[in-house]
Amino acid sequence: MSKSVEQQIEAMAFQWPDFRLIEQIDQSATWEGTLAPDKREHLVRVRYRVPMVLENFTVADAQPRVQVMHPKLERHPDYDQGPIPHVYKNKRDPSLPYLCLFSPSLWEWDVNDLLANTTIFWANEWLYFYEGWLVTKKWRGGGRHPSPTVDGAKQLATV
Amino acid sequence: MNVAYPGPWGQISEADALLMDVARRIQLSKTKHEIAETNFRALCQHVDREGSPLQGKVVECYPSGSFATGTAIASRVAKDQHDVDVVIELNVPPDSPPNVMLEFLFEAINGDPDSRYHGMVTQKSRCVTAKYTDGTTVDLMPVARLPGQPERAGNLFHHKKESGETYHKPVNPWGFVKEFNERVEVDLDFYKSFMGRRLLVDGALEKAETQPMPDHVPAEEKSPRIVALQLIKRNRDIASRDTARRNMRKPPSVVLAAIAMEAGPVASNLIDEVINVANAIRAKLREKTGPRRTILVRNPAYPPDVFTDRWPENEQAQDLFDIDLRRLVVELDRLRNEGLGMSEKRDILKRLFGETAASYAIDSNLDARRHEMEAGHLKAGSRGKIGASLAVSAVAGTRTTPVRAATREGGGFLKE
Repeated sequence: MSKSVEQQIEAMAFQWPDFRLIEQIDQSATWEGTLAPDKREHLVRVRYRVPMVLENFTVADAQPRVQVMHPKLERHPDYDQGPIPHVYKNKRDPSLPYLCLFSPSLWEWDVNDLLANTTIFWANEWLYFYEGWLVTKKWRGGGRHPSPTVDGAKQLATV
Repeated sequence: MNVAYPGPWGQISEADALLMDVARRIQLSKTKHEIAETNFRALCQHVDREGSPLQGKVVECYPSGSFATGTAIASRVAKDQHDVDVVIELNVPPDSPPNVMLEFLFEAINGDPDSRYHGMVTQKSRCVTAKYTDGTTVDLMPVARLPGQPERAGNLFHHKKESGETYHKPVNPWGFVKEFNERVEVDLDFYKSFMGRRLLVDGALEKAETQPMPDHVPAEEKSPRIVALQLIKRNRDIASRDTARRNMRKPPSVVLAAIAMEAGPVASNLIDEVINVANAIRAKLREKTGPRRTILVRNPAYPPDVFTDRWPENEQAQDLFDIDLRRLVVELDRLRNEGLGMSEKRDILKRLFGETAASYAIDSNLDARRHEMEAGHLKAGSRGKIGASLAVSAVAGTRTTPVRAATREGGGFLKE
């Protein structure tokens, strides 16, 4: 059974008391908080909407949206996996992409999971390897890339 | 990742982990050790060959200095080059003319125009150097034993072609190595940490807890003092690259090793041990009782053997090394205490140990973190401070939760 937005909010307040709930509308919630896996602090926004019972959705569709609000992610096309490694593009504001935090195809997260026990940790780890990427110009955080096939469908390629 | 043994995992500080990574990068690989051993043994046999001017005169041939004490490091880290000092004991009168002995040895190695080492050999003031195609060198120092002296004590032959300076010097490299190896403390906990760090970086986590102690562990993996000496030597090498020091001698490794032997109890963690040894050397440098108002360091196994006969050339050279060591201590103290960012840590390591070793350490730290995460060893506090379990829970008031592993995957667009 999927976790309700109230359960997500309660767990976030317990595990991540410094994260502020900035918006709650029906079954969606948005939090902002600071993560500092290295020395620098990053203001992170997490938005999540619990899918409706009869809604047809995939894990990829339902996943929480995590963005780094400040400082904005640096773009380096010349770095390994640049301009920014392991993100989903944001059509509305390209400067605020969404972080790729887990593998939907491996079902590493689903709607039964608490964001407090998964998403925030993974965002923190993503930021740690992002800091490493800025220093070394290499992405050492591992992961997989979906790559488009000839017919436009997506397949997974291990990196 | 399949992890056979999930812990508990020994904890080391990040500063220690970085220094261990630097140390691994500057050390010689087992293969390089074996190649060096093969090279110098072949060289000695060549000196003793039929038709050589020193045929039948070679008594013993053994590595001296860093190679024998386990403190050897690569001379050029990026190219994995190293230099080996070897004593070749000759059955000749100890008062033989130095110029003649060095020329004999040069001729013995250089040989005929089409022979093995021809053109690879240089005669220096105390040794003959063979340089191999990969850039590594073997310095062969001829020594003639002195009768009635401690085991293997002998005269080395000093002759400078340019100035004509010629003399004999009593030495006992073998005695020093023996005493150093007997006195330097080993620490099995350090060995476990050092090996565990290597396996973690390599992603071989399951081996870290299950691999039995091998019968023969290299000295550089089980003694924090030896690893500390290697790091200090690397820092010395980096400092000496300064063009202003081009014509100056480097502080000899044997001087550093001799002082390190007297540096008191070994610290259990690496960064403290490096600072401990560096401070011991600095304390010694304040003594200026030698003939040039510089330090006097003798071979503890054979006091007539003065290690500081050529360095420091003068008080200024000694003070310069003291400044280098002070900088090392200050920078390591920052690395340990200041909560620096990754780029600041990289910059400190680069200044102290060079770019190749610094980059390797930062890369290794990232790889270790990923391997810990993949193995589910990380725990998180409530402000994004994530680390290995014990390190995080030691932070007062921090609630920790195990971090589930995940694979970063994505790209393209998400449904809005």
